[in-house]
Amino acid sequence: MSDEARRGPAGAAQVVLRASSEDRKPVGSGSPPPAATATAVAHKIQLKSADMKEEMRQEAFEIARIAFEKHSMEKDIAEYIKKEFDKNHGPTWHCIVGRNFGSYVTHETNYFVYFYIDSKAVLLFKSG
Amino acid sequence: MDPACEELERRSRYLSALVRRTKFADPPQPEPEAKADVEPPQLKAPPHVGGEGKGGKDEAKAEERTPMKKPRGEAAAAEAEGRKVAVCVRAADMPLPLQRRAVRIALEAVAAMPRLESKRLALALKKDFDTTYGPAWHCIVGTSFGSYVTHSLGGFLYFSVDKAYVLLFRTAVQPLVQLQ
Repeated sequence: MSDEARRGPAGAAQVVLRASSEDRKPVGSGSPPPAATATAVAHKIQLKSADMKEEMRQEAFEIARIAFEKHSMEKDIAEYIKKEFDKNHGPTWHCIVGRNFGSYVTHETNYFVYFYIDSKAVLLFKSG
Repeated sequence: MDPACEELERRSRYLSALVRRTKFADPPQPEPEAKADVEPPQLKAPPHVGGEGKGGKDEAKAEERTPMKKPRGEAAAAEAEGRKVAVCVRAADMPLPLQRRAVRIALEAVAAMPRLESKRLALALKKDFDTTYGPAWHCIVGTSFGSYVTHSLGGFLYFSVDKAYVLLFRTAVQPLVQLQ
């Protein structure tokens, strides 16, 4: 994963954003992820990368758990998570959920998290 | 009204050409069905992202799940030079020149890799678009993912290349306000 700060083009207003990338490939076998606090239906969460305060991070985990319980389609899960964050922390958030994807995005400082919930990866970040 | 019609015709011809190209490529298996829910491009303001055009925002979500069990392709298909790579635009709210550029970069990147690497392709596309059309672009590449994003007007493209799906979208960038 690379994490670099880049500034806007010369002459334009100063813009400080961070670029992050994540790569998620299917894993045949691996050590089980550490168990998170169990609810009625336990979803194991494993944090992979974050530029986000602990409190907001935990909120993301909780909202993801709810989303996985409410929906089964990846796009519906992504929709639920994004809308909750748009509502709670202001626009504009983006969410990707899936088993196999690579990404390269630009996010605002302190608003990026990438984690596994069970066997699926969740990428959540703010930009725009 | 007239420029909008012209744009529509150009897009239609381009998509038809892409469809024909896909047919000629003759993929070994029928393409998996892809769901892309995106609002049709707004014709009120023909999107032309020349400089730092912001415009409004549209929400778009793309969902794709490819069956894991797939028969192996032809041994000859492994050859990068001779490999036929199918490309299909699934959903777009983007001027044609930008679409063409994205597809061309994706094809060049795929040809350069013996095996498609999602992160490398995502990086190549994002960097080129950030450099060419200004920040901030985001790119997701993979065979199995769902998404829900908000993008700038005229800054959304969802297409398939080889066995992967590519989501490329733009968001507005706001300068930081330094409170000192």
